[in-house]
Amino acid sequence: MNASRFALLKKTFQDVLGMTDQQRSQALAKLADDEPEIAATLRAWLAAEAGGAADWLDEPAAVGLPEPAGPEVERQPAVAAPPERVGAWRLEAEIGRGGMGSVFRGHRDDGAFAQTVAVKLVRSELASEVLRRRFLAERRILAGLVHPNIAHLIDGGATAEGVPYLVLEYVAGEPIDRYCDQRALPVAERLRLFVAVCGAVHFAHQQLVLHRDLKAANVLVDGAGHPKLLDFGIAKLLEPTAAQDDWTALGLARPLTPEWASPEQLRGEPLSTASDVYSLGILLHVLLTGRRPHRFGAQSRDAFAAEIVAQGGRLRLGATEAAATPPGVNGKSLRGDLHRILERALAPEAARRYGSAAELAGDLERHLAGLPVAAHPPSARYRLGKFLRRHRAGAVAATVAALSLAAAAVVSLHQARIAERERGRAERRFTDVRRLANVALFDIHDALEKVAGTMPARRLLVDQALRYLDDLAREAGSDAALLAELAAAYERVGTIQGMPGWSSEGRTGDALTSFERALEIERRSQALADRDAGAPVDNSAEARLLTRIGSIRAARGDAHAALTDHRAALALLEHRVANLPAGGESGTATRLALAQTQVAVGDDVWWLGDIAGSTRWYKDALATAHAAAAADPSTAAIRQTGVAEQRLGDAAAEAGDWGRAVEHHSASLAVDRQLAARRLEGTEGTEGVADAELRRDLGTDLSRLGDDQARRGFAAEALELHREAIRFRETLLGEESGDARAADDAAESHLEAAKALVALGRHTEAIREASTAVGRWRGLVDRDPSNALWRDSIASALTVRADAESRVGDRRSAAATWAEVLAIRRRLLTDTPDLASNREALAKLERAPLSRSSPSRPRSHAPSPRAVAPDG
Amino acid sequence: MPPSEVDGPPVGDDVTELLLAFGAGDRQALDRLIPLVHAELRRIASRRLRGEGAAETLQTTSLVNEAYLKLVDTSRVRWQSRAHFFGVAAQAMRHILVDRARERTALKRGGGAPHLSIEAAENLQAGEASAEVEHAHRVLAVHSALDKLQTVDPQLVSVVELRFFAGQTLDEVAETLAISPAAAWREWTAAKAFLATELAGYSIDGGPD
Repeated sequence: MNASRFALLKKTFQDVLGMTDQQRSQALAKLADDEPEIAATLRAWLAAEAGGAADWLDEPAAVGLPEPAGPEVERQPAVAAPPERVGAWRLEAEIGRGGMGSVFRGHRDDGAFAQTVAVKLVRSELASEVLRRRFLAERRILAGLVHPNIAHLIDGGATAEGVPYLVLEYVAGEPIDRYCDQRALPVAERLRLFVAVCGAVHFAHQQLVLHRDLKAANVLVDGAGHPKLLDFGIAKLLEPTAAQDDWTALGLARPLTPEWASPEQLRGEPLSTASDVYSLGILLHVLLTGRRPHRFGAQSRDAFAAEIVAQGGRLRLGATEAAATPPGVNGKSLRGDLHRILERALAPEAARRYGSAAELAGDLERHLAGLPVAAHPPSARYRLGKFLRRHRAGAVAATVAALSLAAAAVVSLHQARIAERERGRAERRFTDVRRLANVALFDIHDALEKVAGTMPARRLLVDQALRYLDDLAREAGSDAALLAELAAAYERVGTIQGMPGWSSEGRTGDALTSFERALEIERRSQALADRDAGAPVDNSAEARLLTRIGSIRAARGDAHAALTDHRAALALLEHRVANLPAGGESGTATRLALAQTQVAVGDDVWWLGDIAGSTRWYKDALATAHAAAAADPSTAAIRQTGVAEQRLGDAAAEAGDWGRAVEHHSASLAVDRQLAARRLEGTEGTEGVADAELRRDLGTDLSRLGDDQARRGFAAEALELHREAIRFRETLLGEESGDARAADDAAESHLEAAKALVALGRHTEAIREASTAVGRWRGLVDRDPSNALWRDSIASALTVRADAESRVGDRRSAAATWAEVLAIRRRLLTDTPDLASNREALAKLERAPLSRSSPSRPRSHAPSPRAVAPDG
Repeated sequence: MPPSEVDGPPVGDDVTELLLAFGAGDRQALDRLIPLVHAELRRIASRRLRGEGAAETLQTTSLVNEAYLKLVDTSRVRWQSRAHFFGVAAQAMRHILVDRARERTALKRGGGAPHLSIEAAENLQAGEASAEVEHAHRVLAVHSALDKLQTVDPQLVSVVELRFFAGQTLDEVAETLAISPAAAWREWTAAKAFLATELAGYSIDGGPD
């Protein structure tokens, strides 16, 4: 068959696939007349397609073709000459091998203990800097996971060649599913083993460690019948390295085991304990039915996740052609309770699953004891009220429920409007939607914001809310009040989406779009209000939006555009302040807005390289804030004086005036300590600063003072201040792992601590701190590659690391790190030519002689936080 | 002198240069590129395809990705070059896996290693050998069918190489070939139908054998 005839065959086949039966037989009949040969082949193709005759091709060829052991092994050594020992451990036999490296049985070799261990050695060509740093940073956390059913981490480090290794408890056992099947264990015994596994997972969750890769192969049962979980948290050590630093940067998928992964994991969303609960559900499913509930075939991970969601969590547990019920398991026993327990553990939506591994275990124990179980049919679970009481899971369910009501109302609105006689009803519904929009965006979001770990719920809320806001905007017409309300809603969405300085997700592009939409609608509303009433225009919202848009542009590296927006806001606000009636709360609000905008303009000027100019703006801001506080000593006003003091301190530091910097920064710290005290005394009302905000401010103050001390040469004091700042900031980050600002702040403190450590000559610790900083910022850049400041920060942190590396004599690592710095800065220069700090740093870097990294050169203090280049 | 130029060129510079040259229209670069990619994949594969392997459906993809990360300076190449790389890597994976399948069938037959495809697959359906050997025969049969297809529809061959031999998802196939995901799905469905009929002994070159 030649190419053109094959093309005809293929095209006809593809066309016919989309046809109805009737169309298909007509097309085939016609083809049989014109091209009998092609028609015959086409029928064979269609039969093959319908019968799934080639569906095995959806599984990659390599899966069914493991490499034969034998000659190939000698020809291609796996780890180029595995070391005889790593650290205090002597390696014996190789006991396993996987994608990331090899596992050896080992013994302690210093005579202190006689202990058999499993040593995981990462393959040398994968031993990237990133991976090594992450190993070092995380192994301390994992070492704390001591539980009888967890094979715990004993030690870890890097070999002389820089290959990271982990030393784990050695478990002689077999995978739990094989263990159960080979002994033909009855259901009750399988459940008891599984309950022990749940206990171990729950224990780890209480230590804030997720497993992330639970599967039968990772649960071994030892000779005494005790299950042991392997590789706890290891997935996190391995995955994010590749996932965040390499894989996603390339647009590639993260390595995971799809058939054991929860839908949210497949979609690449942030994980929670609910994701481990889902994987436990899969394990239970495997133990009871001998198979996994869903087959991963041809589709993408997103499509696989969508398929699971589309099935609505209904499971078929009976034996299938592919898999008989496992030996010892009576298929009938899976009806009723166990079926419901499985469906609850395996609910596609995290909110519908058991709240914890312990809850799942509890239900199984109740089942074993013949008591009624908590899992009940899905319909009941969806009731809004029940879930409002509960933490995160409840909040998500409530959100979804509220939003579906809203969506239903929008749909009804459109339908209702068609019928003129129902106009009155339509308007009532319209009002309902408005109210729901506000409830969702303000009340529900605010409630969620106060609960730790609700970022996914808030994201869902925002995405859904945007959808019906757009509907409302189309219906709004020329209703000025509604337009103003919509502008406020879009502003709200933008705030959540990533305003710098707010607790949010770091998606600045989305936020910018929302704010611009808000500004446009707000201006439309004002124009209408002008025409309608001729009343004095309230342009405070417009000014606020301009300030925010400017700040986002600044964060994205466009200081010129930011300055334009901020100056426009300034003009509006100055005019308002000049025309203020004496006193009154609205005056305070306007003055505060002015002070904030003055700070923002100062920041823009700073980023354009004019420090003296920025100082003038900050002084204006301080004066404005003091005026506001004098009129009304509110928390917000006092806080704004602290902000201005802090910026003045920053500018003094940048100008090299450490004495003045300490003065201003101490003033700022004093302000925040005062607010913290007010908070502790309970004198603050609900409008006061949230605990998180306060922690954030205290972290900033400590961090700035630490910088000043470092510059004055008091490295030990600086280290202490930065370590205290780290505690505040990591606490914040732990509460909201998706919070961009918290991650940025924590990274900054790690970087500054690293600098202090360099000054103190503690270079190894410095490398670790700097690496932690780089990791935090990389995580942020992955989510928002357009953020120039974060990329600038990565280069700064790498600079410090390179310096420390050269000082410990690791010239090879240092050279590699310098090359990385150079690459980042050059790309940043192309993307964001305005960023002065980068321009300067790059200029220094490119003319720096190599001897700069000589380890012998003394150094009085760490480099300044903004001018990040190595001083040459 | 910037520090990056001190320690010698980073690993994989050759491949990066060749990819860039190929992207710029230098067809000969491809001839030099293929053996480099092939050698690296073989090296990685010989370790990866052993051990825990079989259940990890994603390992082939990650293998190719790993080779990419190792061989290519990702800061320098654009996505077109990435697509070229994956195309080349998929061909290499095909050869690696076909070699492996040959070894596997040869081992079972005491080293005789006759060339076989369809007949062997049919013998195997009679329950003659293990699932692994059966799979090896299928892989060889796919390989011969693709050889036939090469002159007729090279894009369809690429789809099979990317999907079956390199383990890419259909979305990734679409990206590599710069076609829409829907088109990738249509191509893949046609490829499967073609292969199923070929392997069942019904050839596009004239009815049942």
